[in-house]
Amino acid sequence: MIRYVVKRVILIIPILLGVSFLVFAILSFTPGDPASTILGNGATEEAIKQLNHELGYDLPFLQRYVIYITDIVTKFDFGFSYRTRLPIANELVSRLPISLKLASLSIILACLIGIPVGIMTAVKQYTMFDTVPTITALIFAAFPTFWLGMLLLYAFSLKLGIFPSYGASTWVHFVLPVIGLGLPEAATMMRFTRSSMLETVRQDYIRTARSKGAPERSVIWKHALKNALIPIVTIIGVDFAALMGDACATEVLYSLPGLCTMIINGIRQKDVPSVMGATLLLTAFCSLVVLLVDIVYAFIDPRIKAKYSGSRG
Amino acid sequence: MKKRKCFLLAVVLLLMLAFVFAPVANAAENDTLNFRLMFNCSTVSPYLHFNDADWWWQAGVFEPLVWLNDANGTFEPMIAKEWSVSDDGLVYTFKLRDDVYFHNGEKLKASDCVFSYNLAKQAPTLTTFTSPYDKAEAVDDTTFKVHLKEPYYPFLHHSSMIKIVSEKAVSEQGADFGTKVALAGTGPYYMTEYNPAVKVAVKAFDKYYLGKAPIENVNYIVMVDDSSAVIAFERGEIDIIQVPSTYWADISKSDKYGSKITPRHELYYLIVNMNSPEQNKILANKDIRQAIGYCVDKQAIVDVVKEGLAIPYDQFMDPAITAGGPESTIKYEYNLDKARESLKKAGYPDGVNVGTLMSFSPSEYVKMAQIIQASCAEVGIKFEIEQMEVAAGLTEMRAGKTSMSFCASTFLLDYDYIGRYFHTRNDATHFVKYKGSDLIDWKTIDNKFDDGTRAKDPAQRKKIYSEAERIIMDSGTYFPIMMTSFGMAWQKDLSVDTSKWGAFFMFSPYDWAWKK
Amino acid sequence: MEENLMEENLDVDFRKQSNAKEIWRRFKKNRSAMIGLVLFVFMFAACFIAPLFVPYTSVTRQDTKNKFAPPSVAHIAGTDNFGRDEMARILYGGRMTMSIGFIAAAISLLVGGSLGMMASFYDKADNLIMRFIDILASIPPILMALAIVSAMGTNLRNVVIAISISRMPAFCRVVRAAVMGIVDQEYIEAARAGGTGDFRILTKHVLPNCLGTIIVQTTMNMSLLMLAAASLSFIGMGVQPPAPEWGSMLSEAREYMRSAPSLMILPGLGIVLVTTQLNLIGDGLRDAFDPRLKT
Repeated sequence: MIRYVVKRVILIIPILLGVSFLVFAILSFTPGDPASTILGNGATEEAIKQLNHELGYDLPFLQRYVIYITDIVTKFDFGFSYRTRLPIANELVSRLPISLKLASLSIILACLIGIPVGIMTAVKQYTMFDTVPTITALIFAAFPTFWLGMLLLYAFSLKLGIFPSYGASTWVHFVLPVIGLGLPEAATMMRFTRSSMLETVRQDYIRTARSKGAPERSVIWKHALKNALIPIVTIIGVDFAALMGDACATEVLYSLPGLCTMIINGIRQKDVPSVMGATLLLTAFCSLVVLLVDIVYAFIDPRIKAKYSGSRG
Repeated sequence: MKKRKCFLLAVVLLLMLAFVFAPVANAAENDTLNFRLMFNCSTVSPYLHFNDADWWWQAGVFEPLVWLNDANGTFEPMIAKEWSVSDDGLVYTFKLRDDVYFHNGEKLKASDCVFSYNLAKQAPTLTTFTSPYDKAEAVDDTTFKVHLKEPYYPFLHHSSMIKIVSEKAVSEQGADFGTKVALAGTGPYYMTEYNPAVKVAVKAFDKYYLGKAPIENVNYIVMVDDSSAVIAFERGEIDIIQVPSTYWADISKSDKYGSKITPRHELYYLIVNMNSPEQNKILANKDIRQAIGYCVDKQAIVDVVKEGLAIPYDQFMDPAITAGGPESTIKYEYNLDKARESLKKAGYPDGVNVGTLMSFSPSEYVKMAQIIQASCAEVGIKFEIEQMEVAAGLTEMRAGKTSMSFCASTFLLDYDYIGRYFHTRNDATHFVKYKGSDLIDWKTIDNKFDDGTRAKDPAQRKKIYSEAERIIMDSGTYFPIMMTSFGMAWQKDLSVDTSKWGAFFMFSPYDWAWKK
Repeated sequence: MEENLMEENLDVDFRKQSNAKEIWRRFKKNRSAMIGLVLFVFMFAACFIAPLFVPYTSVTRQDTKNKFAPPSVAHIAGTDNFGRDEMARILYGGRMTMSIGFIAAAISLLVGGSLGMMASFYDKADNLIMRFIDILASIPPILMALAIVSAMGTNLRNVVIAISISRMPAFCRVVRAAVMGIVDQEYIEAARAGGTGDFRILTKHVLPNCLGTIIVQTTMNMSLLMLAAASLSFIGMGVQPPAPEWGSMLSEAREYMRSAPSLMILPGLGIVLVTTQLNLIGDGLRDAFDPRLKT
């Protein structure tokens, strides 16, 4: 088992290296340089050259990349933002909690709504308790998060004035963004729970349990749910990771200072270290979450367990 | 087995919950004014690269020697009480106030000015303003002299852009200056918090030489998104705001808020690159360029893009308040018949494809582009609109690869300032390369801008510059579109002295107070 | 002799699995899928037949004195901030949004699918391709697309390429898994042993058998791709104006949320409807192709 975990953790390293190289290359081959953006319209050529030199942007691409990676590996130094000249690491530390809060609150909301309703629809299949939520979920799953966000903003901030429209200082600020991001996710979660439950119910061991005369309630709650939850756990993890990145439009809409806005601003302003830092952190985080899920899964799934805990220890 | 799974599930959920710690925001203080910034801040230093956001909050923190009052184009004292220029135009002498303190408690001395001017000289951002002077000198504690390389009469305009900082405070911070709270200014407010993506907080300075500011705390809050910022303003979370143009009509009409339009010396141009390689260099044809100029429906652009927060503009600078600013003799008003005529003269009566118009995304430029595209299409001039990110777009423009593009520029009120776009010493970064071209009399333009800075007499300067402007306007390379305005709005419980408002002094919170 | 027998078996198998008539029959029985299909055909037709009735000029023709006009006979859905006809923009915008979804799905399928197939077919390529796909997949898709668009320039072609690349890993993995399942089967090994070329095996035996998975996956991803394109446009890195696109129309509408809130209704509704319909069709197809999975 430990062997499996170690192997998976080690596999993350080349992925991060690959991602960093890919993004660094994309950013570097974009026309434009940080100094001419920073200095604006009337800048002289000498000023642009001087600033690019100060920022270290006049070095060749590969050299900059190697310096960047070496600094991270040896000193855990993510460099300085071209624009604010503040250490990227500090900015990451202040922005990560916001992205995390947004994603985790949304996924919790999604679970709280999606899983119970999903179970209900599966248990009461073909009744009103099935069709109404299913159709609702079908529509909500199709909502672009930014559109839902706009509608919420319009109704609850602009018209009713209940919730603030920007900022991230208190929990109140997260209500609208979390609903906007969480509802479509809840719909997806509900659909998934429903089909997972229905699939489990059709399995042989459930039929066996039923035929043995176990009461229906115990069949559903004890046998079916237990097994249906396994794939759901996987989905929670994967979607949590995905939400961190998909929160782009939501962060823009509510002016949340999260990692996605850092990347968008960085791309616009050619602030390579900002984009790199935020992308690497997001990627690393997503990979870790997926890894965690896989490990949990491996614990549960006897086949994987057997493969790694057999003769090879 | 079941227990273990439940346990695992619980662990996963708990881990997630653990991330959801929500620190409660600091309790709201009573005497605090909230101001919205449209962008993330980029620096504390008034010398490093700065953007609009820095400009706003630095207005109350750092001060220059003299202040350019852009309502009438005159200078008013700030840190310097009085000033004089030597007869040969080479030495500027500033007499400083003796009651100015920096936020760290140090008294301001002429040596701090020397330090500041030297620091500014090293900053790539300020080269336009610092290039005229050679060295700065402290004669005694209250006398400060600046030596120029050659006579340069717009110098006071430039010095109004150079803020004074404390030598001690800046030296103590060393390389960190610009990245964290610094008590280095002399303004009515000192910094207490600097968080570039969230907010900058400042507090009234007790020892300010004109007396302590009426409002104790000011928070400059970063809110990038316009609609959420306006909502915040309406909910009272923001006390004073530069209203995004799309909301101006609504907000200014409401009697719940005070509001005022202030002209901002920011001019939007359409640039038509005569050297563009696209479409077989079709834009080398001056008549086609002029035809495009006649297709710019300035009023429609003002209405749609700025919703009235701008005025259509026909010249580079307002001659009424600009030192040396001439009246334009050539103007391009919106006139499709003239455009057709011009096109006919060019030899393309049936229309012509001129390539692409590049606009930065996402911005007002994109809307302007669509309006110009629609009216050009009516006379048969066709082009595509291309969107780029600012960094890439500027680079393309500077490389002279774009056919048409936009540019906006805020001007110091001296005509020499627009020389940046036309004098060929800056050729490398020009959007339209004049140097060496036989399509335009660039040598005369250069000469006129050179002469203009050396001439002392305002009337003579106007005459010199009018010739430069005539050549540029005739070339059909830069078409002025509109001059924008700030539309400011504030809550009714705030009393705002708007008399000092302008593009350069920029709304210092010193002039605001709560109504009792 | 043995090979003949094999082929025969295969044919039987093939017929059973992908008999179009049979699938269509099952699909028809699925009421919600049929509703989705009918609505989709209707919207598709509205957006793609529109050019016959509404000239493109009415999408770009401006009337700045008449902006934000309420619905009238001349402008069924009113006008936008330039005084352009909103209905014409919705129709043409739908065409744009849907086309992006279709084309991007096709590219994504073609590239991602071939990579997946190669990976599953050639062990040596497998590791290389899948590690590359792992890297691509670990960058959140929308951010990946953002970076690509900003690097290559904002225009229609680049937006399509960017979202195709960002969605590629999903296609690659699904196709690989599907093909793996088939390649492992005995009849393929037998065909190989019998000297049938790789290409023939792929086209004759493998492709038809994983066609169902591919079709379902493509339908499902089409809606995701449309959402991605709309998100990009919303952030301001999408289709260039004046061409309308639902996402960019929403982005413009957001600025005018106060003065003209109605502008944000139609484009958003359009996206939701088309996405829902595609999801319904996708669900229906999945059930039709593989009735065992029917939920």
